Amino acid sequence: MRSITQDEPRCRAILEALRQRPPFLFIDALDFRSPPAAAVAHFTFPEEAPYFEGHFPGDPVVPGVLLVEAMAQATRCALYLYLGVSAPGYLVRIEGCRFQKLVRPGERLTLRATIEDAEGLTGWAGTTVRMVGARCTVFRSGKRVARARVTLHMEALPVPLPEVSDTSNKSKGG
Amino acid sequence: MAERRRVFAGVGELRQKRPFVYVDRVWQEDDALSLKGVVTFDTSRERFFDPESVPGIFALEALAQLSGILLLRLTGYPRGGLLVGLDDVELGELRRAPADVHLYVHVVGLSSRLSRLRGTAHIDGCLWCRALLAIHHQYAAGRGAFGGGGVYEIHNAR
Repeated sequence: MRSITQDEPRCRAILEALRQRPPFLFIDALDFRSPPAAAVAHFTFPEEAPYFEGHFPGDPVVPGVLLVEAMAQATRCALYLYLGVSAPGYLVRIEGCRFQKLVRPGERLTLRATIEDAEGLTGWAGTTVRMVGARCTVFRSGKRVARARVTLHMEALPVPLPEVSDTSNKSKGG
Repeated sequence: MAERRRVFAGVGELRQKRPFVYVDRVWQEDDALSLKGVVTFDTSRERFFDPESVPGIFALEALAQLSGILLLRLTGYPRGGLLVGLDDVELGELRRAPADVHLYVHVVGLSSRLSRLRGTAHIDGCLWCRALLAIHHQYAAGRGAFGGGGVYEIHNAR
């Protein structure tokens, strides 16, 4: 696949639509010949990124939660490529997330996000997207290092999460 | 209840150091398998994301770090562990700084290699995040096995 860096106008337009900015933007190139309903993106965590000062001192490891954020950003790219939807999209659910290998700064990563289900989606025809689920995988040198299924809500959530478990009550009042 | 609270000095024991520490204070009540904590997100906090917002993934990092402190106490492994899995994660509405996030984790499974903990994060008394976290211990037990080449594998950690 041909990879296009963010210097090129089309890639830049998509990344600007994401709203995230460096150092919290975790995509620097996109493959525009991605399979249908999917995005293939690339990123290299820079060695000078500030979070490596503390994670961990002298032994830099990419924090798993930043890989999750990268997967969510790849999902937003898939939405844009597939449906032309550029709404921000908030990460609201993560399932089956596994970090299977350590990722170090300087390693070239490939992120694949495939949209599996979506509510109210037609994008180009103008229908509002509400909820999108995608299966995401992170590869390094062709080998999987992390995976997750993420769900994005394409609007700001109007209410807090409902309490559903007895354990959640214990955390109040801290 | 205040007299039953015991404040830990556990934050300093974490392998994570600033600017990637997301637990400010921790304490334990009468349950040895659970821990509470709080982290304040304000505009002066770490500089690698929009200081006006509080990305939900940092609630997950905060819960993972609180889990690490609890596992330090329970297992004796020197570094607390490494986050290797997340399940049943739900995140609430986008929150703006400043915000005090109240954290709670409790152990639901503990073995020599892998522990699972449920965690919740509240802001202003409202549930903002909940998650089931899987923490691998043996990475923490020493770098020899897992730290050098990043060769450890976790499949079906759930």
